[in-house]
Amino acid sequence: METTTAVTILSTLLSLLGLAYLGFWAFRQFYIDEFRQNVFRLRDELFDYARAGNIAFDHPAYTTLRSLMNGYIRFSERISLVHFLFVSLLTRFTNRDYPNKFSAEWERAIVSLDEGTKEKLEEFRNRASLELFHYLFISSYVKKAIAIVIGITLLLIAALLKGRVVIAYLKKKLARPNGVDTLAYDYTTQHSAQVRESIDVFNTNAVAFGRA
Amino acid sequence: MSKFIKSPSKQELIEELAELKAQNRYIRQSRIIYLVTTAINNLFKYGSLLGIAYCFYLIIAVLAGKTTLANIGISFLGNVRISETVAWLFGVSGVAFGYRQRRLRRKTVEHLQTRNIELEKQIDPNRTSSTLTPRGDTNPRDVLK
Repeated sequence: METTTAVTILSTLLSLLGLAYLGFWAFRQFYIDEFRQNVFRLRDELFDYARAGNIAFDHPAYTTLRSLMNGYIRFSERISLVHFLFVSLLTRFTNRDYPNKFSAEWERAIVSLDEGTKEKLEEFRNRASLELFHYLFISSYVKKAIAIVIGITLLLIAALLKGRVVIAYLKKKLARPNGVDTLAYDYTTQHSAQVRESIDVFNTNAVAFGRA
Repeated sequence: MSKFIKSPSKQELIEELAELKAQNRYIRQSRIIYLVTTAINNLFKYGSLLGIAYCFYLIIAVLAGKTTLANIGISFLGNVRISETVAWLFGVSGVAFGYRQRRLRRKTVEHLQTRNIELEKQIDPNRTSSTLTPRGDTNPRDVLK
């Protein structure tokens, strides 16, 4: 019976190991690949748009947008939802102007474009940003979900392990004559003795009084 | 034609310096946050692995007869329902991973192939094709029914 349970535990642990691999490594890398592929496709669309003669390859708006996409592709491995949120929060309080630098440059770059091209380039930029948010949320969600499953299982193990230790300790303590036992025992025996002694004294006195 | 480089004014230099300082601060802050979040992430990752490895060690000790299940306190994992649930989770996640990988590969093939065909046709207008689908699947007309 014990061997069967041990083998079941072993199989649970193997599944947990597999889940940890999928959650922490495989899925993470997959989402990076997927995000990069989506941005590659977007960058190629931008290239085709420029090749069609809509914008010059050396126009600041084109080069700025392409650099932004290259940055996304290059640094996607470093960006996570937590990192993104912390940086946004911290810069909001301590370095408010710097993160707006790109937006300012972008505004300067597109100012000379006609409305149609401007709109199209804004659409490219928005799609790139949406890809980034999608990547941040999806990759983070899957990772956290698997981390939670593994975390809860390990916590339960720890709680159970600790619980068992505490119960075993209490049982051991309760099974032994401890301070409370001794006190109770002493109290009862001494009290009885005292009562018995008092009764004896009373009886003796009563007898003596009767005699008298 | 002589080249004349205008030296920046004091005000321009001050502005540039302020911008460089802000950039430097931003990079430092971002780097610190990156290190902290990576450390937390690694704590999750390797903490889980360590926990699992420790449980493996305990269970091997049980199988070797050095201790009993009652002593190690992980008999919770020996519950068939829990074991099955975790195994299902692992199996479904594995299948989902494989499916999504395949879908991504096919999308990549489609994207690259479309551009490849276009570029090759510019060099060789008579370029022949294997007639696979854009995603690299067998042409439905070639499937024997």
